[in-house]
Amino acid sequence: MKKKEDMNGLGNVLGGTFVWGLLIGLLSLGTVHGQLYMDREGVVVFEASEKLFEPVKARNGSVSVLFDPSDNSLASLALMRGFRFENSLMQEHFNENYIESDLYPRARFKGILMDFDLDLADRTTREYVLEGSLEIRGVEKEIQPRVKVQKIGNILSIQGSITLLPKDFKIEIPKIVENKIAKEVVVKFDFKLRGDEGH
Amino acid sequence: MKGIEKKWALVLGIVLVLMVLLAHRLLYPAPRDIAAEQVEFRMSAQALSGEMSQMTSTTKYADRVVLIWGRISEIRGSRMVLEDGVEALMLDSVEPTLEVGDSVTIKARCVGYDELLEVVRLDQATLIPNYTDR
Repeated sequence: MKKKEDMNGLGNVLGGTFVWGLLIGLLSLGTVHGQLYMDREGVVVFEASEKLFEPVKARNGSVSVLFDPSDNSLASLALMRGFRFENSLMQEHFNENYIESDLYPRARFKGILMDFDLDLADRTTREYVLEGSLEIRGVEKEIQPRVKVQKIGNILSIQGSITLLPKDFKIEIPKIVENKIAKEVVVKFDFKLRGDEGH
Repeated sequence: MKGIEKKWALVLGIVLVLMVLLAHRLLYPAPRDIAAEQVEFRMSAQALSGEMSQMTSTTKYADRVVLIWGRISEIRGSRMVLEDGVEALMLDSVEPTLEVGDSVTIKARCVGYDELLEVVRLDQATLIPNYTDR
């Protein structure tokens, strides 16, 4: 009887080792292929200024970005209330009238950094297409901005810009300020994503 | 007669200047001073991040002035993370004497909940030293 228990014990230990081995194997695979790059302080600046009028410009320096080199997927999120304007009245109008930040508190992007290979990335700046969908005010739009990518140590820098139209996101500009706000909004982004470990 | 005209010109001038000042005040209001505003919510960092992560709408806290306490889990530049769930961008730099593990209370504007990194974001944060009314 005692022997049987011992045998069971051995079986458990062996089984345990097997499971642990599998787990460790999976985890190490994870670190090789699934190392994430993250930026918690990504910068997004948008500008819709018209010449001769007061600049319509805002900056958000707390945009989050996640990049997974295993499938080149990139996800980003910006809180609309995080955009800061020089003119606080403009900021209020942006949140209350144009974006309706209480209803749509965030902008999201999900996409793929096309043809990118992390192993080939270095200090040399190369251009890629970041293809994906941008969601603002609950409206999704497919975008394909060209981005400049550079890797210095374990920092992956992704910079680019896109031109958006307010009407694409059902943002109505009242007639009275129509001349003061550009028809096209230029959105620039600058992400410095940090990898978990140095390469 | 000349004296009266001068007086009127002076009054008109003052009225004009006042109107311009008023218009300027209306078009360019002073930015919010979060540190001077009344606190609307007081709670621990865990309570805030716990509640906001469950909320479908963030209107309750977004753009409101909050007083939050908790242990510092990370310091990065002018940012402090409290209890791994609340990230505060300080109005000025982080007090150089502060270290990870210290318990602090801050007053800040709640920007919203970032579901990508699962963190509540605060900005214009100021340190409230020796706050005991927890």
